[in-house]
Amino acid sequence: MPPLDTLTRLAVLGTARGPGLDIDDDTFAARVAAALEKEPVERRLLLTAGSRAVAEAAARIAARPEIEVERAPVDDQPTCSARAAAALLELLRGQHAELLPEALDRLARAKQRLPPALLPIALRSSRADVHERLGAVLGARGAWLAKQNPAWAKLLAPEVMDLEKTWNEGSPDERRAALKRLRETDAAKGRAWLEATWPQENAEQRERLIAELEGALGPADEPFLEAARKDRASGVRAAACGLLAKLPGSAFLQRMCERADAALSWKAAGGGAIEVDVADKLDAEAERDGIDKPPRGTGKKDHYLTRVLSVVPLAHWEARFSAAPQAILKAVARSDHAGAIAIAMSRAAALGAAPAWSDALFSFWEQCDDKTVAAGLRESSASAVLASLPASSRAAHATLVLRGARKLPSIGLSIAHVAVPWPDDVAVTFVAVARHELFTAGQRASALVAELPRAALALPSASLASVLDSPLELAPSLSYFTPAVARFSELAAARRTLHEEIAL
Amino acid sequence: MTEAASKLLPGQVLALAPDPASASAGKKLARAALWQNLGAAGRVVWGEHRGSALYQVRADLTDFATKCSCPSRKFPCKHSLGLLLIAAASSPALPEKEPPAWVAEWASQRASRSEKKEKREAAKAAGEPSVDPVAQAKRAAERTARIEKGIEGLDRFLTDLVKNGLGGLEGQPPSFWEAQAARLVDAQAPGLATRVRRLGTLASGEDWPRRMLDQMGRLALLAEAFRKLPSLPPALAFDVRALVGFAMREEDVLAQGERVSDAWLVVGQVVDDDERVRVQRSWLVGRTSQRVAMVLQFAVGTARFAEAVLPGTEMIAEIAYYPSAAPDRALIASREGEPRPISGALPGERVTELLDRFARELAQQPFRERTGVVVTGVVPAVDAAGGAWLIDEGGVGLRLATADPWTLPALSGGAPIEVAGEWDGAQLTPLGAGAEGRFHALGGGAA
Repeated sequence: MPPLDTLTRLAVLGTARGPGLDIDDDTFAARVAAALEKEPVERRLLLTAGSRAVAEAAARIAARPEIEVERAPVDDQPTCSARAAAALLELLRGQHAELLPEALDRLARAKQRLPPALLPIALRSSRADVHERLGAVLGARGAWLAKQNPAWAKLLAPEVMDLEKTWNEGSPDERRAALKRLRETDAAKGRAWLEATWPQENAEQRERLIAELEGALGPADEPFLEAARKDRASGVRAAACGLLAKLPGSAFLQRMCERADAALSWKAAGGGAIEVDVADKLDAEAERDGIDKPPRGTGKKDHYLTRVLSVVPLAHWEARFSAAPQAILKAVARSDHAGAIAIAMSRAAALGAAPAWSDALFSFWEQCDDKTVAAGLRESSASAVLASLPASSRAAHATLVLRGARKLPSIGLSIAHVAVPWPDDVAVTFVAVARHELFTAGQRASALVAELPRAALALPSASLASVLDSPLELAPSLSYFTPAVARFSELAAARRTLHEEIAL
Repeated sequence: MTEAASKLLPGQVLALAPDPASASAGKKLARAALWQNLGAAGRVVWGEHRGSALYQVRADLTDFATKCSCPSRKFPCKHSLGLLLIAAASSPALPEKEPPAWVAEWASQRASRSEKKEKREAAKAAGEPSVDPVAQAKRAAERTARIEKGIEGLDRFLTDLVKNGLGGLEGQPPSFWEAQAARLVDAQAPGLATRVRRLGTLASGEDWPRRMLDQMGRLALLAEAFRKLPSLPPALAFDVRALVGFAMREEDVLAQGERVSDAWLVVGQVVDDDERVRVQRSWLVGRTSQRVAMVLQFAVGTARFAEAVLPGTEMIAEIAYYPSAAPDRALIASREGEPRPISGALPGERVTELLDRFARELAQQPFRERTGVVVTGVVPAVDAAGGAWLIDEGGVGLRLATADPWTLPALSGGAPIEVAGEWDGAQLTPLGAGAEGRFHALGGGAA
């Protein structure tokens, strides 16, 4: 803080205690104070200070700040329209902010850039999903601007990471990121790094670091994972087993297949039956292979089957039993351990499954009753099967669920697995079914209303037009859904505006 | 619909909204599909919207006057905003046609009202006596006496502050300043009361004692000037009376004030709503005259300001300056045609011209706190400490008072632009900018 001038010092101290007003230089203030000599000191002080304030405002001598400003390069990318800019500003201010990623992607695809007025608010955004899209829409002006503000410059051009330095000196998160990056280019070196520091890492960090091996996982990783399977920490052991399960031909997988083969045997007579034979005593390696004690309430055999079968690829059974998926699942259904086997097989679908397997599993879950497996587990198992399917099959399944031709998983989980924007089939079906169920107060109305926020973000342009031009109508008995439907229309309208204003 | 109206931007319409909820409701109604019988006849537009009942909405694009049959007490209501937004959209949703009776009637009422107003003004201008001069003089004398008593109290207040020292002011509650302000309101000196309230906001931050003393000193000067009113030049006496809180009647301004016809650009707007009344301060710059004018409007609560003054628009108008030693406050006396969006470069001053002009104006009227300005040929820049500047081609810089130092550089790209704002002798508060032939409103005003 600069030292106080005479007038201010006196005012702060108070004239009652102060030395009196005595300015002995040749400033404007001194002359004013002298002219007011006969007045009481408080009045002199106030009027002198006021006069000085006015004089300084009038006599402001402009400063010469030492700032070099370079001109921004010329942009060859056009800015978006004024209306698109107005829409984007709303989004950046937080109104319907969930649309931002799509809006910025569209802008980039249309080869347009943000208008200059929007650059600061966009650069100030704290959202990672905005940052990663800015590069494509800032244009030369935006890049020029970002360069001038250190906080933004860092955001746009993260320094080329010195991976080795980061691995040796970085924070836990940075080290994990460095390992992941190195694995992408040199998997063996990444593993070697991990092996070198492994004994010094704590359990939590070991568990998280080992997970980074999943990218570029290969047979060369097996010895390391085999060692990690015997780790002190159960989390690390589980992670190692999980990775070994994804390594075709690994000794682990072989052991698990052997256990599976011992546990399940096929009797072809009478359309096929599965016999389950689980020994009372676990083999020596079982615990290290992740076959732990069952949680309370789960049978020992069921638990064993779940652990073992969920890492065995489904194709294994087709070959071993010489039977089709449909027949195998029918036999599973008749088994005393139907639930445990089907849950494990649904998880194993993630390792790759032919369409016949997913069909058979979906049918199994639809016919399964509460006594065999509780509803929540049926739902999550069917969802695991759905997640294993390619995109087009997921969309086809969601359409079937919307039409009511399939019951599992729920509408919500089914459409959650459909890529955005939804293919026309899914979108048209969703809109038609929602329209009908809401208007007639159908049984699935509330399930559909719950998915409206997702739909508003996922519907393609044509379906948006359809729901905006003839809005969803609610049966009188469903009037409490009015706000949800209104929010949906609003969000859909905002998206339509974006689609219209940022044409591709 | 006319071309000028179609050039209107939705942001300018939304600036009319009394609150954000109305703006957002208006936007929802801005779709032609939700309306029926939409139409336009010249600058009058109309339409019907079925809400809880059928609402008939009409608007005049000349001054954005609106009328809706809905019962809402917001003004303008969401239906009116929706209709204006449709008018601002590029879609041909408003076909030119014969207005229905409910529109024609409204338009003709408006026309006759404005005629009556003109007649009244003409009568005033002709010096028609309307009040008893003796009673008026007596009332004025009484008021002056009350204000003089109020000023005595203000003197004691300020004197006590400097006698006991400013050091103790930092922790004073707002009520400390409010009590003195209330006494000045009772004494019918609301202008002085506002300044006292503002003192209360100064007692914190770096270097606050100096800023506090400066403002107390300027307040003391103003009080001193009021005491010496009879000996002041007549023009300056008007200023002092106005600053103390004598409101001049509009018809008197129209009758006595200097009139200037020009294409007036609304280059900046500030709305202060920290007191019970919202005060809107709009800065106008004349394209040909290069004169600066400040239009003040007041509104209580969510009521709308009487005159639509939209930042970023240009209107052909005659304004009347309030009598002053260095005129800046003005009234819009009459308008011609519709306001249109500003286009092309803004007329304005170089940095050095601004400094010279403000010095001249302070010499004429030393109580002025700020002036509106368009500075031309300046490059916005941010220094290493994050401070924002405008730098002219000679390297001379004006410090900017802004919480957003980056928008101006973004607009300029390092090239010289025009920046509109308020200059207080130390810092310029940016309110608008002209870059690449386009006007951008900054801060408040158009969202």
